[in-house]
Amino acid sequence: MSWTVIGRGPAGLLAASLLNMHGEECRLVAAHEGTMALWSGVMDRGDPELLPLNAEEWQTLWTLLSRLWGSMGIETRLGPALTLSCTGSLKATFLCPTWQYCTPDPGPLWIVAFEGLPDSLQDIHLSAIEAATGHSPFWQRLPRPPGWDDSWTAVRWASFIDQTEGKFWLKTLLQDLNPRVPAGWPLLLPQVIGRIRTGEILREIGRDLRRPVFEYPLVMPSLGGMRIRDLWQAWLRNRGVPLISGSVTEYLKHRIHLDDGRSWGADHVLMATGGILGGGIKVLPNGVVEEAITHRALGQITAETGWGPVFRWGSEANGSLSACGRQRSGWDPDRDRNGGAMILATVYQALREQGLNILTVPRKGGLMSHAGF
Amino acid sequence: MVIVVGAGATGLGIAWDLVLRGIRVTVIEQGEVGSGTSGRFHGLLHSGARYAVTDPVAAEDCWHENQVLKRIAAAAIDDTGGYFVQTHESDEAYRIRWEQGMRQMGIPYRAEALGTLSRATGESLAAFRAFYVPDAVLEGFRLLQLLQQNIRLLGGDVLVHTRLAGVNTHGGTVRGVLVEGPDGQREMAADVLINAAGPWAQNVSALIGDKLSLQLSYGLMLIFAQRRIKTVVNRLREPGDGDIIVPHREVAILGTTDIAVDEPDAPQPPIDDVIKLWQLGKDMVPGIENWRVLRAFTGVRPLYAGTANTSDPRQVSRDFKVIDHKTRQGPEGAFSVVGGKWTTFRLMAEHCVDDVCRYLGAYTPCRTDRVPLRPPQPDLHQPISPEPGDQTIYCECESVKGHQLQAMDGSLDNWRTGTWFSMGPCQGTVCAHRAVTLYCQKNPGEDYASQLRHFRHEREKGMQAAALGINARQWALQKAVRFQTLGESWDEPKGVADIATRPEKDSEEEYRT
Repeated sequence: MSWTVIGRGPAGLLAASLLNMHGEECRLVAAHEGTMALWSGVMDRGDPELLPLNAEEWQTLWTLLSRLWGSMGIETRLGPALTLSCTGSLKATFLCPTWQYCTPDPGPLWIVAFEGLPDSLQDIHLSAIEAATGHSPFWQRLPRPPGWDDSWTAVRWASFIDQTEGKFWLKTLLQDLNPRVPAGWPLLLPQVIGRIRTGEILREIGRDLRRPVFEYPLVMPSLGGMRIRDLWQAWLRNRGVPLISGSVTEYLKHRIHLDDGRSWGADHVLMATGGILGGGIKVLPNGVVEEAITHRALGQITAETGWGPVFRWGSEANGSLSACGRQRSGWDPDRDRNGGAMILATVYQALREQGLNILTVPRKGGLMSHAGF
Repeated sequence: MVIVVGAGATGLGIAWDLVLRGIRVTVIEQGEVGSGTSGRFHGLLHSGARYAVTDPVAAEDCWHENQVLKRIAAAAIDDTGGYFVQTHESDEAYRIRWEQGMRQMGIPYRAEALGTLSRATGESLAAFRAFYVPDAVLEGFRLLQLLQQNIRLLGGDVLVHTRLAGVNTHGGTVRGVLVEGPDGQREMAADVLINAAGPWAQNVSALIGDKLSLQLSYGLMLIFAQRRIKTVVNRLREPGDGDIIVPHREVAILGTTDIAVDEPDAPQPPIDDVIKLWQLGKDMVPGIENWRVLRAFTGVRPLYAGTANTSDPRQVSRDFKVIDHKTRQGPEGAFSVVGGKWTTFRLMAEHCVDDVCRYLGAYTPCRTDRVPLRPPQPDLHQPISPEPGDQTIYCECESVKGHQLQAMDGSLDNWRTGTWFSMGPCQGTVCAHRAVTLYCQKNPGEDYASQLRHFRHEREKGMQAAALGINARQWALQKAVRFQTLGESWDEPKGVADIATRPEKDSEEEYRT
């Protein structure tokens, strides 16, 4: 059986990984970068009552993802908890890389902002944090480093801190402030602490200051998601999954066709094309909502339909083609805050529709092959 | 003292005319400068060509004012020129009448060779014939800002967020007004009250005690990313829907429609009309379907039919009228200015202030057609600051830096129209929370969550109304950033505390990998 996964957001990467773990022949093709750089890498569950699987199945899927990431070198914390946004709001999440602040019980915090990084937490946000945690944070803003100019994006900041000079700049300033902050209060830094050496740098600062050190997420481009994306794609390449750049125009008679004329056979296709956000669903200028690859009309926007349901329109199974992630109908992770659960559930469902039940079929050769772990 | 109600083009034009004639004036405005119809138009400085057949009075006024404004307000006018494009042979009869009208009115025009048309406009057009006319682009907010600055330089006052609450017409003459501002109610003495409230003129005239009946209609406009055309383009036929495209700063605006409406507040654009308008644009610019729409907005025209009885707004003249309420059994010293167009705002002010001068018994000639509206000169005695402030870019789409935002005064909306932040393709997705942060730092009493919520709501209204093509994707991105990254509240926020809901700590066993 040969499989093709279209799209390299989280759903596409997960689907390709699971297929590979089950010894299936799989290609991953995508026209664009995928949405990983848009989010910090936390996986939200939302309200478990609303989810279409039982508790045990859920636990298996979540554990599977966290072990998969662990095998790539991404440590995570699993379980219901809160994380902090760059505007001081607390957000419920379920699976979170350990570089990001995440706890079931937020306590007092030492928060640091960088001048010249516009998404740093500001003093104006502290009252929201105080209201939510019951503690007034200790807040400091570090001056711009030498060499900073207005072209410094988050990615540029991260590569600065990856270097010895940047790490030294940060450590020196933090060591001066450290005695003024009560012992035990965790330190929160903006999510630019390296693109590659994040874990190492956070541990080193933590050792110096004798306190836990975490990042808080910024808006896109998001270093957290970019780190996961890079490690995940490398993991797939190392295991022999071809990552192909190209735009799929058609899937006909079990063949995938790209706009540049390339084509190959595929017994099963998973569309992880991201719905409206990913471009897998197009809203045409005349209001028709259409699936980009199959050109199947999903509906028409009118004054009567309004916009309410449109973001939940999507596809399901259609012969040897199944949708997953945001492409799948019925989900609205912005409203329901269940983006992570959506990825897990829809990838599981799509694979199952195409004949592979990852919860019952043992994995072949290597990683996590024993049933139920 | 003269009180002018409304700080749109008409109200500020009148105040500018008054201060130039040495008459003291205070303008009161319920919202922001330009938050009514004057900030909600396509940006076309008419040459008069659009009305050459159907409305000769408006056409003549437009052509006169077009020349005056290019002279006195050059800083706010982008003199692009414009084209009238005949798309079908069937419009030939209209074309002949149009050319006659143009010659009669003395509006210059010339035929453009079709071979050079797409180079001249920057876009390939469905043209059967094309004519060049002296249309231009009027940057509304820029001109309103110039008017306000120059009015203040000559001692006039502009009070925003101040509403007219009552008029003292004791003995049948205007003696004062009751206004309601941010600091509560107060009385102001007034010899003359001028109602320049645009679509709200009905409400203001009711307070005067002589209610006018306006014929309100709204126009729908679509904003497209990038300046895809270099000149104004009009369709050569009877004025109708979707027949004007205007390059405005970094965007292009397609207008418009004409739909009767009861309320003066600009309505939320209906999606069906947005789709229809975009499709109509294809008749003139076939490639418009591949342009990227950013948002849709509406503006309400304060048309005045007088005694004419018609239900079709397009049949109502674009001409204006100055009403002296005394002549209609209203009080003395109360005037209303209704109808008209952005292009003719100066002329409307001139006629109105002429009447006001005669009423006050001290006629001085109008000078607004000669005195240029210059931006205030920087104070050369101030030392140039070595540290220009926060150089961090807060709005990536429009390259707005921190110090530009921090230099702004007034409401957050004022920051937006003054710096253009959040006006690009992302419509504030990435920068709104940053700008609100700076705004709340500068205005300590303001509530962060409700300011952000309100701002998002306003931006989203226009984005949602045109969430078609790539813009649908942009809107999906905005939702993902708002609700998943920033954790903003899905429902109307009641306070900061309920933005975060803490999970039940004991509800599920915590397990680690």
